[in-house]
Formats: sequence, structure tokens, C-alpha cells
Amino acid sequence: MSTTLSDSPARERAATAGDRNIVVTAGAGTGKTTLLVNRLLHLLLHRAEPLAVGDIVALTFTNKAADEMKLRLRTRLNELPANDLAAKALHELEKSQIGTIHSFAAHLLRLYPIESRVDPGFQQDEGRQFDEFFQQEWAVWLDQELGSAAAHEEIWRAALSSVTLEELQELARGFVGELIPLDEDLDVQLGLNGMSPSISDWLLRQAHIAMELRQSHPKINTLERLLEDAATYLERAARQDRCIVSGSWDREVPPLTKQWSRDDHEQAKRIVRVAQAVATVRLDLLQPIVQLIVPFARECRRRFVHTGYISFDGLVARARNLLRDHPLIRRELKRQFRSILVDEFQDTDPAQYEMILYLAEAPDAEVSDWRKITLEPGKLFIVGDPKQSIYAFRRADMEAYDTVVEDHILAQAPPGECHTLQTNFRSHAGLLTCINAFFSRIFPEQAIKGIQPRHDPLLSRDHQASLPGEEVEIRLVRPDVTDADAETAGRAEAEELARWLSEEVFNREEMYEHGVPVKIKPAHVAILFRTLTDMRDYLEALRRYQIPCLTEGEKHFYERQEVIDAINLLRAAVDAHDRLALVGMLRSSLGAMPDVQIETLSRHHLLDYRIARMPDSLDPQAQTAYHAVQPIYALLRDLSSELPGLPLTEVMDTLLSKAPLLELAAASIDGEQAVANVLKLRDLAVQLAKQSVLTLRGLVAELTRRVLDVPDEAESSLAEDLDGDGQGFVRLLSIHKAKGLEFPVVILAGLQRGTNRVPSRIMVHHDWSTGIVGIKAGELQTLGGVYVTAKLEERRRAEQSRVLYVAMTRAKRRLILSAGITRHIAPDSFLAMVAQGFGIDLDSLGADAQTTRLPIGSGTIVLKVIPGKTVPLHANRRERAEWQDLEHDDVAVVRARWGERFRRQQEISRCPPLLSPTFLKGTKSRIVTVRRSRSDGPRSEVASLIGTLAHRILEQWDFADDPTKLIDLAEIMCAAIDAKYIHEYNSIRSSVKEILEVFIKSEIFQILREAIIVGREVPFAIPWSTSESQHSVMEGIIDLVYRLNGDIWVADYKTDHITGEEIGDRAEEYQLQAQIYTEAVSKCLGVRPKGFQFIFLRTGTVVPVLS
Amino acid sequence: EQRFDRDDLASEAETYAVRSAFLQRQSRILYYGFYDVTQVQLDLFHTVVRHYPTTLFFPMVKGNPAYGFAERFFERHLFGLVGQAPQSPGTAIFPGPGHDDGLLRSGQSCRMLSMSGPVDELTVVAKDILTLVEERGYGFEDIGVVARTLTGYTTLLPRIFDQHAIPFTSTMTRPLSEFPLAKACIQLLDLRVSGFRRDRVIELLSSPFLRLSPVCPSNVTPRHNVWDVATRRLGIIKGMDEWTRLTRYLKKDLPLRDDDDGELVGPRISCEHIQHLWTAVSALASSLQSVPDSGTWEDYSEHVQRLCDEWLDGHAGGLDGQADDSHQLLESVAQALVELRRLSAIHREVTLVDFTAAFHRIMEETLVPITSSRAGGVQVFDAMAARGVAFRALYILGLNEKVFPRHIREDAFLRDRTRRFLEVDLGFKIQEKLAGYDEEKLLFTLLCRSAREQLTLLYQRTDEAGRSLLPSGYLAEVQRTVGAGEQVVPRRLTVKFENTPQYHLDRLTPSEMATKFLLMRRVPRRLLEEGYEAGRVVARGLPALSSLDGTEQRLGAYDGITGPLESAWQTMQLSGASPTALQEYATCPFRYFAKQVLRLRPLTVPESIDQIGPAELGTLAHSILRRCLQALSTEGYFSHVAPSIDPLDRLEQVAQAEFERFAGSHPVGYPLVWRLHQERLLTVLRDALREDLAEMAREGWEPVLFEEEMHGRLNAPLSGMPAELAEILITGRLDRVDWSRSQNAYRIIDYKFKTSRNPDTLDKNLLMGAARATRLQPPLYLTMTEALRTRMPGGSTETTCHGVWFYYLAPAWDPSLRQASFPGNAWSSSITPSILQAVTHVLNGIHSGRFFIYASGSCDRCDYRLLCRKSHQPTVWRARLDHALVSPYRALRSAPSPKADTSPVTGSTE
Ligand code: SF4
Repeated sequence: MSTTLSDSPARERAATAGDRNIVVTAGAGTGKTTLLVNRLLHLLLHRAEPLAVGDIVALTFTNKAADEMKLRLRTRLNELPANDLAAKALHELEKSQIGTIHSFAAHLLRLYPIESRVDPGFQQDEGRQFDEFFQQEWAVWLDQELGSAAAHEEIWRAALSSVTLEELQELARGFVGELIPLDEDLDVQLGLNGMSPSISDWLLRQAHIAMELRQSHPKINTLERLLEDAATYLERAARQDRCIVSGSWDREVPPLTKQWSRDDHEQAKRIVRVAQAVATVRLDLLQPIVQLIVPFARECRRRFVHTGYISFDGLVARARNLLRDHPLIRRELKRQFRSILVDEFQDTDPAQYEMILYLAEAPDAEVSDWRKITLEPGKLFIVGDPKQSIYAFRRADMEAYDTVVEDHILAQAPPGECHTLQTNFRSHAGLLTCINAFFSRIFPEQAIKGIQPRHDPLLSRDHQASLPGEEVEIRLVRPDVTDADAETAGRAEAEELARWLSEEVFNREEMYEHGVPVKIKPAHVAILFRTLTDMRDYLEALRRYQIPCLTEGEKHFYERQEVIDAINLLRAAVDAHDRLALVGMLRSSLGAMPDVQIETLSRHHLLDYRIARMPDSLDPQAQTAYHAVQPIYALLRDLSSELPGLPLTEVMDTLLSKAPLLELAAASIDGEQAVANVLKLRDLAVQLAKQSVLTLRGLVAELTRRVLDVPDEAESSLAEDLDGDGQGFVRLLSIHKAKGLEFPVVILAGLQRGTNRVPSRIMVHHDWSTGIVGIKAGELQTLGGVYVTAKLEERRRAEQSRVLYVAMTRAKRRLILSAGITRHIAPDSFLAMVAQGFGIDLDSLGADAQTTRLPIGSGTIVLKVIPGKTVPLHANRRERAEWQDLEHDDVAVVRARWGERFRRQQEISRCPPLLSPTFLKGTKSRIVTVRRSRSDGPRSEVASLIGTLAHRILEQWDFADDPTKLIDLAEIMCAAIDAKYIHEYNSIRSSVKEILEVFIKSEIFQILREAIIVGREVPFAIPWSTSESQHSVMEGIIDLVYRLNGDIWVADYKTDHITGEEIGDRAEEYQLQAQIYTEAVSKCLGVRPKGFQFIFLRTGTVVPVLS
Repeated sequence: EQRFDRDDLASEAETYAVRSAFLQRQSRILYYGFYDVTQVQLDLFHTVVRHYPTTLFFPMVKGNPAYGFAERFFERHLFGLVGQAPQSPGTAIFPGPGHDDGLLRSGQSCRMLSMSGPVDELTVVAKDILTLVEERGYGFEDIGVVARTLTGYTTLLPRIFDQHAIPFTSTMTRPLSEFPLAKACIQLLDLRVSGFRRDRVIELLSSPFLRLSPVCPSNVTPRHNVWDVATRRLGIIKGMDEWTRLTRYLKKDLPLRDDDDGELVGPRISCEHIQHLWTAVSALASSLQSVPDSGTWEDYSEHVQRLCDEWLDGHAGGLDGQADDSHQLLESVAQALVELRRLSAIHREVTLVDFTAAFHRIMEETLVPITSSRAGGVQVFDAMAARGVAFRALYILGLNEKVFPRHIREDAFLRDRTRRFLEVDLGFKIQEKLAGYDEEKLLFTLLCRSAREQLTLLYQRTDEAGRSLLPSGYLAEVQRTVGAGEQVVPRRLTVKFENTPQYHLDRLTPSEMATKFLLMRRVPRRLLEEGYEAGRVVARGLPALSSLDGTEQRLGAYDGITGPLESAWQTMQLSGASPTALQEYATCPFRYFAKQVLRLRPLTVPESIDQIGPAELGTLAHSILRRCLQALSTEGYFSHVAPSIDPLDRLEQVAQAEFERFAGSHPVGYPLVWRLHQERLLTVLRDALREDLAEMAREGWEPVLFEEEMHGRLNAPLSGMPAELAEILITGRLDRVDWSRSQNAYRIIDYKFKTSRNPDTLDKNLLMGAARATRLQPPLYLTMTEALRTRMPGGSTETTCHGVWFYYLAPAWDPSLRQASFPGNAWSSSITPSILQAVTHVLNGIHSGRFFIYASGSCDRCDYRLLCRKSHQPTVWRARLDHALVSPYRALRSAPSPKADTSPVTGSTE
């Protein structure tokens, strides 16, 4: 680590401090992963008492971050000179708890499955299992509830008059989420037992603000009057008196007037709305609905865990409960984990804070309320940046963050230490100056607890000069239409952006890379968007300019033509009546039918691929169409007969091998991307097919549902997620996805767009700090619902500045802020924020192209206004590559090569490396064993059991022994037969005895009594070559080898009912077996047997085969 | 019934070991493959060692950490048995301190490959194997492909190796439940559980393994597709009650559509098909009826076996060679059932649902070997099975973190600290779970050494989605000690084709080869025509593709530009065009083509319907009101013959009858919700009727025609429309026509049922709708005035048309009955040019065959969105930029509201 950094002491102390809990605020690009790895190395190697890998928990926000940390740790350990501690750490790294909080929670649950009430072999559910499960449960429940014997009819009537069935379903889903506490008394959450103090405080505060606002606006107009009423009402409401005071309630807040500033007006509006919402709280209507749904939700949760899956929320909730409710376990784990590191603390779900607090608690007390926990000094090390907290939608909670950091870590004795990393290793000084100046205007000077952190400027590491253009540039595109909305302006902006990059930037302008100037390439550039929905127009424009693009997080997979084509084909093949699918397929490049021919087919009732013979008396036009479509109909017929018999996992492959979807995708305009998408579809279908419940039609229905509903699914990515490597593409991604990444050139596009948020009609949200569950269903909500909604709304507003902060701090060399100019600038757009932070008056911009340099702080930025076109001139800028026929298209060679390969495969497959006499018998003489049919099943099974028994008895039998004992032995062996043959026991026993009795009396038996028995049931394995393979091994078991008069004989027992002629028939087969056995005995004993005998036990006859 | 596990056997054997005649006969006993034994097995071993001369072959290199696991075992459990230090002939690949020689076996080469995702991993291996065999003289059987576990490869490997014609033998298995035949067994039982859900019945009936011959006469092929359509048509969801709807059509054919009258027109399904379906379903039902709701495991197993015997055909299976497999599968199912019987030992009674779940589960857990019919070739094993097998060349797959070494967890029920205590302090051989990591390492070491000549280590750099994955820690170690180079197989196909040796042309399958050239914009014409079957389809598709992806700004033959469709036009001239059909053209010309020209209709999915949809509610509302008014009219309510009739009573009666009729042949969703819908609808209708009647009484109107099929013609000379367009016959069914004797006028009423929260502009402004051609009923109804006049009770040449009125039945609007009107003189007023233009545009478009797409808000619910290519960029651009064709249309769609002589809207919301 460079010692010249101004924050070096902080870094050093943070990495090595052992006696205090540490909070590190690491601004963007300040090297927090390095710090974390340094801290880990310190703990493992340099600490006074080094820790073992297993003593440490290191938690990250994503798997990717965990992987990176592990990889870097491994590399650093590997690089160290040989050292026992390092070797030990390396050796134990597999066992480390470096991972996400979810994987850690799962680890805890698996260690204590009984206490956590989970199946120890549970699997984590990414959401899909639960979705399916919930759908099913919901359907079953509705069947009961809404069936003919509906038990709660009145409640349902009331419920369905205010919310739809879908909304109720959403509400139920909300309650099933495991982080919603359902154990407590519902009445409390509904507010039936009085108002929570947090809510009444809040109402009073709102009343107070309303009053202040009112007083600062002395004129009395509608808004002022509304505010006054709101204040009075809220105050009374806080005292639990919710009778309406005056009649002017449900009035809309009047629009902004001169007397009001925009901010004040917004705030007034919010307060009036709060008051209005409080006034409409109707618990009498909501309560029955909640009481109906909650038991369902409880049951649904319970049953889901029984399926062996746990959701992500479930992992955290259960691990938290485990730690909270089982002091002994907590104590044990506290002892085990001696150091806890947490990354991205600001984006962590508060339930996870709770877990961390329990684990970091001082040794000897296990308190059950996290608020009362005392921490063990030196155990906790957290890294985060509240300015980069942008995951409120995943329940990141600034209020909780501040509570834990300030009230627990920093306030307890001995107080924790807070270090701030400010040296930025990413951006050059020119950029940082402007970014600092900008955010000093956006963030407050002092942190607002629970809402917004204060601004800490980033310090640059060096003062390397920058090239022209390596700066902050604002590009405003003025569309060629008046009163453009954000979308229209966006189209013009996208078009201009693509043009600019392709004509002016790529391969023309330069930037520094590793200290040397290089031409800017697509791989250097990332375009960031606030939401993914904005991305599409830009992508199209860039593609039109032939700029290679890679999108991350776009979700249009199911809208891709090649995907729709493939699914249409499958639908048509599976359901011959699905004419929509058939026509869709015919219109694709695979069907290749022009619409006029499709019309002809339709008119002649020929839109049916089962028609394999041309009907008589077709007019010439119809005949042409019929002939044109036949190859495809033949293909469909083929598929439709084959697919239903295949395992589902093979369906998609068969489809791809019979129908050249891949080749056609390759030939399409998006060539490689289209191929990748078809392959991805195949993989997705295989994944689906693995669910054992699914059938072919089910699979088709599911895929159809997907192309119709277009669920989020990304196209197959042509590039890999390897850090910092653009792989030749311009990257398009959301700001959230860009978090933690850096790019040489960053373009923030579509800044003119507002958030356009439509508030959800359904909400179940647990507010961690107060424990209040906000509930909202359509027009109905609890007071908690009003409170939580307002709180979330406030947080969301504050978060927008942080999203912009994350976005603007991604650039290493160049930052471009791009927007289309709209008629009205949306107040919640980034453009409005950018204008405010850089002090630009958007209304005063001229209509013509212009370039200005604006000073900001000690730097300058460039502001450009550029005219843009909303309708592009060209449909497609891509030059269509010249299609040519391939010159050396030597098909004969290809055919011969693959013909030979398949022939070889066939041959080898026919001939296994391990042979057995029976196998050879099968191939040589083609005697196909007659399979037993089901009706005569038991009989033949019994027959073979008898044969086996006879063999086993003779294996045990010492021929020298008294022959009568053979029958005793038979008794014993028969007694041990499987219970399932118990009913046939008597007949089996008598058959076996009968066989043996005949055998005892036979001549051969007498001979064997005289002979020296060399082996019974002798296994052998010898090298064996056949015409197909030189390297096979023959294996088998020889029933009997004996020596008589100095000669070795080999024998095989047969228990078949067989006649003399049949023996003759099987001569060839017998000959082969004799040959193999004789060969084996010669090889193993080194003596050539005199001969080979078949001993037919049932008759006592011997059939010799002489060698 | 006594059951033994392996340990029981070992412990039983121990008691016999000392006096075993067999053992006594042996001159020496050799043990090998020996380090993961249990205490009981160890006891047996000890006994044998004590009594007989024994040699143990044990993998260990003293002091080498890779063998640490073996060494520890040796020291704890074996050391006392041997007098001297063991002999050690081997060397290690990871030498410990002091072992710096012999990293690999002599002559062994080692390399590393990384790629993206398992498909690439296996493809590269397959292509590499082809090189080994064809260029370097390896036999397939000399080559091993090993992964720690083959689980992730079971579907991929057979497919990829087959594509590359690589024979292989393997220990891989797949669950029985993956096979359609096995699924059919489950489905069969499941019918009983699911109450004969329609989709499941049809699915089962379409299984090639179902034995339908007993129920279908031999000369009839079962037509499950027809059955599917028929049952959808009848709105069957589940329950034998609903299935009996089939019996209505045993003698008469089933029509595919019903009109509002409940009268049945259009194409029909022959009753013969329905008969067969009914026979099949009722046979299944009676066969399943004997399966009780609860019973013993034996009972159920027997029932299922019986069902399988009765219904499943082990000799079926469409393909050659499948019949054998099918038979085997049925055997496996039977075995699984035998297993299930054994559960009786635990508890006797189970419910059918539980049994089905257990049956399902055992089918998942019963594994069937994948290579049943194969044998020779490359040896594909998991690492455990590969122990002790030697290869000339070995590929180790999936060297990724948490895969190899596998991810090991402590045993929650016997924690490692307890295990350690048991083993170290009490001397009982039991392994600490986390010590498994050492075992993994040993496994890896032995595996590496089992390759005589060539060792290839593969890991997935990223997964199939391109997300990065961590390599196994072993690789870093190998790299450090051996310094093996890494070949990076790129993710992108084009790059692979360009510079990855494994993707050399010689090793590309014909399909890959074609893909490669097509990506390079070269057409391998001969390869496509003669190289392989599917190639011809590519060759056939290429010209179409070049039009589909064309960059010209001209809509073409694949974009719905059909040119004049003479026959279609003639048909329309004959049978007439309805305003609703024509306005479809204005919504989206392609949609018109799909719906009106090709007459495509989506298949309904009764199962997915949990409540009646808005369209059906609308139809219901319509027919109830009409029937009610008709009844009132017939009974003389309007002519004041029968003033005592309570119209609301009548409404109720009619509604009840209609609801019942509807529910008899349509899915209506949950009963309670259906009831609520009925009530709400009735409320809306009641209000509407009350106001309607009051208004009629007040203004002197009397309804005289209901649902009247009428014809009209555009008045060509007057309109100035091209003659061939003007000749078109306009047909329409008028909801209701009112007559006012006093005004000598009539008016046309059309009901519109609306579920939206608020009316939109076009609902309010019918003139604008007409000018944009999206609401064509009002202007086109007015072409029927001549015919209507003659139908009025006192109609004369003086009779005038008062206008067309839309009556909105809109529960959410306020007030719920809203009307909008269209002036009766529209064809001879200031608005005539706008509506004339609109109608002309539509007719002209249809006549000249211009059916391009026009994507708009209505796409979201459009039935044709999977066949119009509206998300295909080149198509979209053509449809946006072919200005000559599209601009006039776009202008039509944004036409302003014409200024009328009369006020268009009453009861305005403003
Ligand atoms: S989806 Fe849209 S573009 Fe396609 S046919 Fe339907 S309305 Fe037309």
C-alpha cells in the first residue's frame, strides 16, 4: 500500500486494529476489497494470536464479491513466501465462511436443523420453487374458500368489493414472506389495540411541519386552508381521535402557485395526502380480510418448508430467529466465530443486522432484544458507504444502518472507531474535482439521520494530466419536434449518441490507458441507465450503427424472434390444432411461406400439417402453395410423432437436430446473438424438463406462457462476466448493476426520464426500526400502512441522489451525462438534479447547437446542446455483408468423415469391453431371449429362482459328503428365500428337491463323488478378442471344475426343461460356451481340459462337448 | 422381515471369519481399495488379519500432504497391525517437503482448459477425443472422462458424445420419472387425485404408451387433438360431472362456436370422436373408481400395478428399439411398486394423496442406467467409480470450487467434535465430516496419477450465463507445482470457430459447419443440399430470410403485403362485412388479416380461468338485456297491453336462465366469484333497465327490433368512393332499434359492456372513433336506414333516423349508465368527408391486400402477438419507415374529431 496516501493511517489502523469494533466508510473507488483482504491477512497471519480460517466470518453482498475476495485472498496467500500459517490458511480455505449472508445463514440452519425447524438437507430456492408452490397452494385454498361450500362468504364478498382476486393474491404473497412477523398478535399490527407510539409521534411531527408550513405562507388560499385542517386533524389523530373535523377533506391539492416554492409545495401536498390517507383508514373492512389471509399465509409458509426448500428471506429470518431464540447456540457460535467482517453494510437487509449483532455480542450475555445488545470489542469490522446505499427496494434501510452504526458500534464502550477512506484509485483528478463539487450541492453538509449521509469528498491519488475530452461532458439533445415527451426525446438522444460514438469517438478520440494514450474503443465504454426499461431504444440505435453491444439486465429474451419461432414450432408439433402456432411458424424463416400463400392454404383448408396427400381439384395457385409447404409439413409430422415418446429433456434437442433453427438463426441478421439465444432456450427447456411433474404439453404450455407474458429473462450473453473486460462490446447496464464496477468511459443516458412511479395498490412491509407492519390493500390500509408508505417514499426520494452518485463515480477517464430535452423537465429526473448540481438553467438554453464550458468548484465541465432527429433516416445502418456461396464446399469429404465416425461408434457400442458368454450367444446365434409377458410373470420368475437355488446348493456341496445331506442342505437353502415368494414356498421346495433327487441318482453324480473337485462356481476373467474389438475382456463363472483320472473336466449345470432335439438346436450356442470355458481353464490352470460337459440336473443326463 | 445393511453383513461375517473353511483354504488374502471403511468393516478386517496371512495395498506416500488422509487412517487404525513400515513404490504428484521429483508419472503430460459452461466443456472434450483417436492412435477405451460427480452432465454428455459419434460407457443414471412411460403411470393415478382434470386427461390420452385399443375400435385412430379441442369447447375443467357434458354430443356433432343465440353454427366435431372420447374417459373413470381414498401400501401398489397392466403398453413407443426399453421401464416401475409395498412395515393406512406423492418420489429416486444399450468406448465415470481404473488419457471435468473438492458440511446430528472424540479418544473408527476435504485431495491425486500419458484438467471459467465461477483450489496447486499451461476456450461461437484448435473444420458436425459458414455470410450450398437432412430446410429458408431481415424500407410479401386477394374479397362481397371486422383493420391491419382473413382463433384454456372474463360478461349482459326487452315487448309491456308486468322481475328471470345456460357450457371459475359476478352484473343491468325504461317512457320510444341481422350498402355515387369498394355489402346485428311514433323516427341502440375504471376519449366521442375507423358501427349502421325504415311499425318515407346510441354498461363508471350518440344524418352532413375517408381507407387497404403490422397499446392483449413478428426489429422498421404505405394509415389513426352539426355526447363526464 502506498504510504503517500493521505488516508494511509486510517487504512493501516482499519486493517490491523484488534481492540475496537471498526466502521469503515469507503467512498467509491477507494479500494475497499483490498482493505478487506488486508484485514483478513492480518487476522490469519499477523495478529498476536492468529486466527484460523474457520474462526472468521466474512460476509459480502453478492456471490461475485465473495468470489473475488476468496480469489484475492488465495492469490495473496499463494504469493507469500513459504510459511506455515499461510499454508494452513490455504489448506483450510475451502472451509471458510467467506460468502453472502444467505450462504452463511444456510450454513447455520444446516448445523442446527432441529432448532431452526428445517429439513437438514434443504435447498435454497431462488424464487421459482416458491412461485410454483404458492400458485398451487393459492389455487387449492381458493378452491376451498370460493367453492360451492364457501365458509367465509361474507368476508369474501366484502373483500372482493374493494380488491380484485389478483390483488388479494399479491397481499397473501406479501404475508407469506418470512420476514413479516406473523407470530405476534395481529390486532397489534392492525392497530386495534391502540396506536403505536412511533406512529403517534410521527403524526404529531407531521402536524407540526404542516403548521410551520402554514405559518410561513400568510395568505389564505385553498392550500393554506387544507394544510391547516390537515395539521389539526393529524394532531387529533395522534391522540386517537379520528373524527373528521371539517368537510374540505378529499379535495385535490391545488397546483403550484407563485407564493409557494416547489419544495414547500411538494411537502404540503405530501402532508395533506397523509392526512387524507389517515382519514380513510377503515379497519373494519381491512381486518376481516387480513384475518382471512393470515392463517393461509402461516400454513403456506409451514408447508413450503416441508417441501425441502427455503427462500432467501426464509434463510435470513430463520437464522435470525435461531440466534435470537436459542441462547446456547448463540453462545456456541459466538465462541466459534471470533471475527466478523461485513462488506456493503449499507445495503444489508436489517434482519441481517440483527444476525450480525447477535453474533458480535459480548461473550457472557445473550439478550433477546437486539436493541439491548452489548458488542464484544474488536470483533466486528464493517465496511460500507451510506452514499452508495441504493437497494431500498431490497429492504436496505438507512435508518437501520444509522441505528446500528451510531447507537451500537460507535456509542458503546469502548467506542468503536470510524475510519473514512477517501483516496480514490479510479478517476483522475479532473473528474473528481467536478464530481466533488457537484455532490457537495446534492448531499447535505450534515448527515440527516436515517435519511441521507453527508458528503465526503473523494481525493485523487495522483495528478496525472488528462487528455482533451477526458472530462465531464453534458450532452443535451434537442429533438426535432416541439413538445417532445421523455420517450420521444430519448429516441432522438439515442440516435445522436450512437451517431456520435460511431462517427466521432471510436478510433478517433483518445484516452489514457495504463498511462499511455490509446484510441477509444467500444470496450472502453459503458452506458448506464436508471432503469432497464429505458435501455431498448438506445440498444436499437447502437445496433443500427453497427456498434457491438452487450446488455446486462435487459430482459427481452422471450421477445426475440428466434425464440418465438422455436416455441411456435414446438407448439405446432405438439398440438396439430394450434393453428396460431402453425401460422406463426410458417411465417418464420423456417416456414418461409409468404403471407399470400398462407392465405391460399387457409382458404383451401390446408392449414393442417397432417394432410400428407394433395387433395384433388386444387387450383394451380393452391397446388403451388401446397408443394411449397410440404417439406415443412413433413418435418412437423415427423416431430409430432416422435416428441411424445421422448424423455422431456431430449425434446428440445430433437427439435434442434431435425429443424435447423440454429443454422437459420446463424443466417439471420443478428447471427451469433440469435444462435446463442436458441441455445439458451434449449438449456432453459432442459432445466424445465427436469421437473419430474412436467409433461410434454405442460412444457409447451409453460413456454407458451412465457412468450406471451414475457417474463424477465436476459438474452444469452455473448460476453463473460469477467472483471473490467469489455470483450469488444459497449456495455449497457443499469446503475444498480454497475455498482462495484468501473469503466474508462461512462455515459449516463436518458437523464430526462422521471421515475413515473405508480404506487402499488398492495403492500405488506415490515419496518425494522419500529417493528410496525404496514398493510395496504387497494383503498384499504392500516395506519401502519400510511406510516410505512410515507416513510418508504421519503427514503426513496433521498435514495435518488445516491443512485446518481453511484453512477457518476464509475468513470475512470471520461464521464458523459446525456439527455434529450423535453418540453417539461420532470422534477424527479436526473436531468433536473444535474441542472441543480451544476447550476444550469435549462430554460435558458438556446435552440441551436452550442458548446459552453462551465466552471464548477475548481474544475470545468463542458455543456453541449445538439440538435437530434426523432425518426432515424435509415432502418438499418448495418451494411448487409455480401452473401456469397462457399467456394470449396466439399460435401463428399464431410459425409464420408461423419459416415465413418458413426459407423465406428455403432460398431464399438455393439461390442462391450466386458464380454460374457451369454452376450456372445446373443450376438452370434441371434437367439433372442423371449421376454416374459406380464401374465406369465410369476411363473418364469419362480423358474429362474429354482435354477438359482439349485446352483447355490451345489456351490456349497461337497461331493465327498453323504448324498442324503444334499437334501438337508436344500431344505436350509430353500428356507432362506425371499419373503415375496412365501406363497410359492412349498412348490419351490419340492421342485428343488425333486431336481436334486434325480441328480443324486444319476451316473454323473456318482462320477463326481469319485472325482477331485478343483473348484465350484469359479469366477474368471480373461483377455478376449473378437472381430470387432481386440481389447475385450471375457468374464464368467464356471459351475464346476474337477479332475478325474488325471484329466481336468469343466462342467455347467442346466436346470431347463429341455428335450433331446432342443439340445441339438442349441448346439452352436453350447459350443461357444464350451470354447470360452475351456479356454479360460487352460489359461488359468495352465492345463488343457479334457472336455466340457453340460449336466442337465432335471434328467441327470450329460451332454459332452469335446475340445 | 429382516433387513441387513452392509455393516450388518460385515458384523455377521466377523463371527464366521475365524472358522471359515473358505478363508482357511487361502494361502494369502489380498485387500485393496481400502480407506473409507466403517468401524464394523474395520473389525472384520482386524479379525481376518489376526487369523490369516494378509496383504493390504494402501495408497499412501509418507509425509506427502496429499496422502495425509490415508496416512492418518493408517496411523490410527492400521499401524498396530503391521510390524514394519509399509513399502512404498509410488511417487506423488504434489510432493511434500523433500519430494521434489516425479511431479507426474514419467511421460505424462498435463494441460488445463477453461471454458464457459458445461456444454462447451463437454463439446471441447468430445472434439479433443476425436483428435486423440483419429490422429494419435488412441482407442476410445483408452480414454477416461471423469468428474467428481456426473450429476450436472447426465443429459448433456450423452447428447454431445452422440452428436460427435463417440461411443462411451458410463455409470450415469437418470431418474425413472424422466421417461414419458413412467410419467404416464404417475398421470394415471393422478387423474383420480386431480378429479379428472381436463388437461391431464387429454395429456394422458395423447401418450403413445396408453393402451387405447380396448376402448377405441381398431379401425379408428384416437384423435387426442380433436378431443382436446372438443373438451376446451365444452369448458370442461374437471370432475366427472363436467365430463358428462360430452354425452350431449354422442349423437349430434359438436359445433365449434356458439353465437349469442346459443344457436350453433360453424364447423363441427363429429360425434364419433366424442363417442370415443367418452368411452375412453368413462373406462378410465371406472378403472380408477376402485382405487380407494385411503388404504394400505399393498393395496395401492396392487391397484397401480393393475392400472399399469390394464392401461400401459410396454410394447408401444413410436421408435425402433424403444419397445425393449419401454418394457424395461415397466419392469422398473413394477420394482418400484414392490419397494413401496414394504412401507407397510412402517404404517399401514395411507391416503391416496400421500401414496401418490410417495409413488412420485420413488419414481424420481429410482435410477435407470443411461448406457443400457451401450457398452464399449470412452469410460465416463464419477471420481469414486474411477478409483483404481487406469487410462492412457484422462479428462477431469468440473474442477471448480465446491465441485471438486465437493462442498462438505458438518453433520448436524453428529458434529465433528463428537466424531473426533469418538475416534481419537474412544478409538471408534468414524470420520470427521470436514476431514472429507483430505479425502477429496487424495481422490484427486490418485485420479491424476491414473492417467498414463495425458492428463487434461478442465474448469468452467464462467457458467452458461457467463457469470464467473471460481476454479478449484487444486488447479492453483497444480499450476504452481507442474506449471501446466492453460488453454482458454472462448465463449463466443465465432471466436471459437476462428481460433480454437478443437473447433477445426474436421471436427465440426455438419450442422456446426453450416452454422459457421452462415455466420461468416457464406452459403455452403452443397453442404446444405446434400450434407445432412435438415440442411435442405435451411437452403429453402434462406431466400425468405433475406426478405425477412431485409433493410430496404419497403414492406414485402412476408410483412402481410399480399396484394389483392380476389377470392377473399369476393367472399366478403357475398357474405358482407361487419363494422366490427372492418374496424379491426383500423386497429391493426395484420390483426385483421389473422382474424378475419385467415380466421385464426386462439385455443381457450378452461383450466386457467378462475373467473369469467370481461368479454364473456359483455356477451352475457347483452343477451340478458336483449332477451328481457324482447320478452317485455312480446308480452306487450311497451304497447301497454300488460302494464302489470314488473320489468325488473322479468330481468331477474331472464338473467337466471341465461346464467345457467352459460355455466352449462363455459368455464365460469370459482362458484362464489361467479355468484358475485352474477349479482354485480344484475345490479348494473337493473339500473340500466330502470333508467332505460324511464327514458323510453319519457321520450316516447318503444323498442321494436332486437338483435336484428341487417344489411346495408354504401351509397356509392353519393360517396364518391371507388365503385368496387362501394359495392361491398355491410352486415350487422343491431342490438336494438327503438321506434317513436310521435317523432316518426327510430334510433339504433348498441350496448357496450365496459370493465374499465373510466371511459376513454373514443368512448365519449363516437365521431372521432368513426373518423379514425376504430368505431365503425355507428356510421355503418346508418347505411341500413333504408331497410330499417320499412321495418318500423308506422314507417314511411318521412321516417327519420335519430341516430345511433351506445349504451354503456359500465359498473365502474359514474353514473353507471352512460350514453354516447352519433348523429343520424352523418352521411349527409359536415362530417361525411371524414367518415367517408375512414371507411374508404379501410376498404381500400383490405381490397389491395395491405396487412402490415401496426403495433400499439392493443398489442398487449392481442391474440396474434406470437405470429405477427412485432418484436422483430427489421419487420418493425419496415412497418415504421415504409412511408408510402404507412403514413396515410398513421394519419387515419390520429385523425381529429370532425365538427358535427349536432352535439355528439350526452351525459358528458366533463
Ligand atoms: S400484436 Fe399488435 S401488431 Fe401484432 S397483430 Fe396484434 S395488434 Fe397487430
